[in-house]
Formats: sequence, C-alpha cells, structure tokens
Amino acid sequence: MSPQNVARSVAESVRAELDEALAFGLDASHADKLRLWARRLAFAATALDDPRFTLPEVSP
Amino acid sequence: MIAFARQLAESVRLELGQACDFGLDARHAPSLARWAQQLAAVAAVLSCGRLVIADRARLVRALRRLVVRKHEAVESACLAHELARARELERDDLRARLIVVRADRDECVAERDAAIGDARRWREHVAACEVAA
Repeated sequence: MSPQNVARSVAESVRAELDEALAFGLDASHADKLRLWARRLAFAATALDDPRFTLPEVSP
Repeated sequence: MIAFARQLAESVRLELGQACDFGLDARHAPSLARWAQQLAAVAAVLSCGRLVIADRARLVRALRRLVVRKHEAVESACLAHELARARELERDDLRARLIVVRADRDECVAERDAAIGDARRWREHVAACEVAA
C-alpha cells in the first residue's frame, strides 16, 4: 500500500469520526480524540508529501 | 471559546470532506497539516474548558480549607487573647498582694522601731530613777 493510499485511508477515517462527533455534539470529552485525529492528519500530511511516490514528470 | 472551537472543527470537517471527495494527493499535504493544527487547537480549547471546571473544583476545595483555617486562626487568636488577659489579671493580682505584703512589712517595721524606742526610753527612765534613788 503506497503512502498516499495510507494517507487517504487515514484522512477518510478521521473525516468519518469527526463527522460522527460533530453530529452528536463536540464537547470536552472529545479533547483526547481530537488530539489523536490531529496526529493522524499530520501523519497523513507527511505520507502525502512522501517523495518516494511523487509522480514522474512527463516529457513533452 | 467552546462555540468557536466547534465552528473550527466544523470548518475542518467541511474542508477535509471536500478534499477526500475530490481525491487527496500531495498538493493537500499543507492543508492536512493545517487541519491537524486546527484540530489540535480545538482539543486544547475543549481541554481548557474541562480544566477550568477541574480547577474551579480545586479552587472551591482550597477556599473551603482556607475558611476552616481562618476559623481555626480566629479561635486560636481568641484563645491567645484570653490567655493573655488571664495572665494580666494574675499579674495584677500578684502586684496587689505584693503591695499588701509590703504594707504589712512596713507596719511591722514601724511597730518594731516603736517598741525599740519604748524599750530605750524605759531603760533611760529606769536609769534615771536609780540615779535619783
């Protein structure tokens, strides 16, 4: 699984959990989960920016 | 602040949702990093609210302890005042007794001196009578 696919999977998972939390109302009990989601999104950002899977330039 | 945190979380959800719907790629990396920071900020605000409540509970307990200590201090101060007053009264009483004792002593000294004077005069009278005889 490429880092970018991992990043997309993580982002989707965070999006779903954030959707659910906001639907039920965000409060102080979500603080720990929010910090976890923040770490996961930061990881996804790093994975998306991974140079190993940068698309090669197409020569004209 | 909590309402603002919720609004921020909503905006992250909206932007993240749009990015996921259109397909994430390397161009979204800075945005993801920004959303991560925003979610961390939301967590900090919500935690702060929880901490405020916890701090308030601790503050109430600390205030109660202070009130108890204040009462104890007031009671101690009253007791100390009573003790000081009692010592003062006892000292005054001792002084009064000392004055009385000194007065008695002075009276005794005066009586002794008077007796000594009387005895001397009596001896002089006796001596005079013997001479006359």
